[in-house]
Amino acid sequence: MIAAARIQYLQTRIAFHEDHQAYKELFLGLYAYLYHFAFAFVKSKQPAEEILSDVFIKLWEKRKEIDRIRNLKVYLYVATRNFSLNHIEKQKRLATENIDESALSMKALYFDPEQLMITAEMMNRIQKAIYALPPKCQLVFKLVKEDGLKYKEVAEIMNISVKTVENQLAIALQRIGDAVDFHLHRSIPSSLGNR
Amino acid sequence: MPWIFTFTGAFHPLWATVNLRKMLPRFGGFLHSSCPVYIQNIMGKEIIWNLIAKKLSGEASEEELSMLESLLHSNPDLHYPMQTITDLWHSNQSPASEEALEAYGRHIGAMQKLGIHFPDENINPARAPKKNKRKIFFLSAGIVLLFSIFFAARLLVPAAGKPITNSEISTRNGSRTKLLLPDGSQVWLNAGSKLSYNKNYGSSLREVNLSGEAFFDVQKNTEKPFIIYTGKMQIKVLGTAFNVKSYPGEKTMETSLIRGSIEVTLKDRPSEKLILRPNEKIVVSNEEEPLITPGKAAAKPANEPMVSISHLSYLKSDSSIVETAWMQNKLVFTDKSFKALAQEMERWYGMTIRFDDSQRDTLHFTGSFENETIQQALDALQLTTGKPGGGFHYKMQRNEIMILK
Repeated sequence: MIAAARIQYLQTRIAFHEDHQAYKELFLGLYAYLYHFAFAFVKSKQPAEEILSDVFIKLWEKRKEIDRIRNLKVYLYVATRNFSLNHIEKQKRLATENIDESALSMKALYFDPEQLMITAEMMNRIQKAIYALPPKCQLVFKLVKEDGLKYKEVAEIMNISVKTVENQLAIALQRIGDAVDFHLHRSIPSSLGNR
Repeated sequence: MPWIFTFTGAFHPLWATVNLRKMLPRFGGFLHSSCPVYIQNIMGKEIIWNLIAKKLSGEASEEELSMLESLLHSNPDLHYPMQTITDLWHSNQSPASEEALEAYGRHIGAMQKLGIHFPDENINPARAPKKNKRKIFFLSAGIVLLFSIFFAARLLVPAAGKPITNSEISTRNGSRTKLLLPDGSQVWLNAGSKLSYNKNYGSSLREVNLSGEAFFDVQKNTEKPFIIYTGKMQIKVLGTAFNVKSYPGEKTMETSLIRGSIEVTLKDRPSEKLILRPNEKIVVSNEEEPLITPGKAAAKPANEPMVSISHLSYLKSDSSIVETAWMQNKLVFTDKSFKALAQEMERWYGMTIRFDDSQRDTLHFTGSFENETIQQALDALQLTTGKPGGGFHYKMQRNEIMILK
C-alpha cells in the first residue's frame, strides 16, 4: 500500500498540476486493493475492473476539486463501494437472478507456508478458518491486514462504527487463533525421548 | 441489501479494559504468577484477541501493549497462535503490478473512447507483449547460463567440510558482549563463549558457529536462512529471537525460543527436523548416558542424543524468563547441582572454583544473583543449605576458590 503521505502528494500533483504521472502512480498503487475490494461485492472480474475504471475516470474529471478531499484513499474506497453497490442494484433490475452474497473472494489473501515455517496442513486450517468467517468480518480483516487501513478508515469505508471494526477483527483473529491452536501432535520420534 | 450481517457476541472489550487497567498497577505481579484463571474468567480471550489485533494493525496504545504483554504471560498457551498470526499478518504478498499496468492501459483506452482529455502516454498494450516475450526469453537463457556457471564452479571447487572462519568474537569468563552481524541481526554473547562466521555470511545463507551461550535476535530474511552450528545441534531460523546454550563439556545443550519459530536438526539424525514453538525449549544431552528416562535407556543405541522439549520457566518475582535472565545481568538457577552451578559461577565471575572432594554434589540450589559479589553469593548459598556451618566452607585465593566440607 502506498504511504499516506505519498497519496497526499499525488493528490496535490493531480489537483494543481494535472500531473498524469501522479495519476498513473496512484492508479497502479491502489489498483490491486481497490480491485479486490470491488470484487468482494460484484464477484466478477470484468465488472470489478470497469468499476475501478469508472472510479478513476471520476477522479480525473473532478481533479480540480480533489484537493479538498481530506483522505483520498478512503474517498476512493467509498467511491468503489458505492459504484459496486450501484452495479449490483442494476444487475438485480436487469436479471431476477439472486446474487449470492455469502462468500467474498479472498483471493487477495495468499500465504506461503514455506515462508511461515508451518505445515501445509496448518495452512489449510488457517485458510478454512478465514473462509468460514462471516463476509463482513472477512472484509474487515482484509482491509486492515492487507490494505493496511486504520480502524477509523475501515469504519468510514464500510459505514460501520470503529467499535464494530474492533470487534470484527478480534473475532477474525480469535477464530484463526483457535484453528492454529488445535492441539498439535508433532511427531517426535519415540526414540528421541519423552516430552 | 448486501451488508446485512450478524454480529456474534455482546462482549464489551472497553469495559473490561477499564477494569483491568484499574487493577493492574496494584496487582501486576500477582496477576501473572498466581491468578491466570481469574483473568481468563473475567475477560475471556476476546479481550486478548482484541489487543493482539490492535498491536498488529498499529492501533494499540502504550498502555494496551503492556496490558497485552502481561495477559500473554498469564496465557502462555496463546504464544504459539499469536506468533503464527503475527507471521501471517506480516507475510504480505505484493500485489501483482503487471496486472495493474495492463488494467491501466485499458483504463486509459476507456477514457479516450469517452473523449476525456488525458495526456497521451504512448500506451500501446497490443504491441508491448511481443517485445517482452523475446526479452524474457533472452533473460531466462541468461539466468540459466549464470546458474550453470555458478553450480559448475561450486562443483569444481573442493567443498570444505566446515565453513572457513573469518570473523571470530569471543568472551572471557566474567564478561559478556553484544554484537551486530553484517545483516543487522543482534547477538548477545554470554561469558566464556565464542561466535564465528565466514566472509560469505549473508551471500546465500547466514551461517554462524557457536560455542557457549548466546541470545539471537535474527533479522527476518526468508531468502537467506540463518543457521547456527553448535555441538550436536543445527538450528535453522528465518527471523526470530531465541537463546542457545551449548558449552562444550556440559551435560546438556539447549535452545529456548522466545518468538518466531525455529527448526532444530541433530547432527546424528540429519533427516529429522524438530520445530520449536515460542515459549518452548529443547534440551539435548551431550552424554552417552540417559538424561531423562533412565528406565528406557537400555533400549537405545548408545550414541543417540536424548532430547526433550519443555516449556520455558518464568521467575516468580517478576515473571522474567529464566532461560534469558543472563541478559538482564541475572544469574538464575533452578534446582541446580552445586557442581553445575559452580561451572556457571566460574563463567559469570571469571573465577576458578575447585572442590576438594567429589562427594559434594548432593547439594542443589534454586535462586538468582544480580549484583552480588562472588563472596556474597557463596555466603548466600551457605545460608540456604540450612545446615549449621552451611554444609560447606570455602577458601578464596586470588582468582581461585576452594570448596571444602
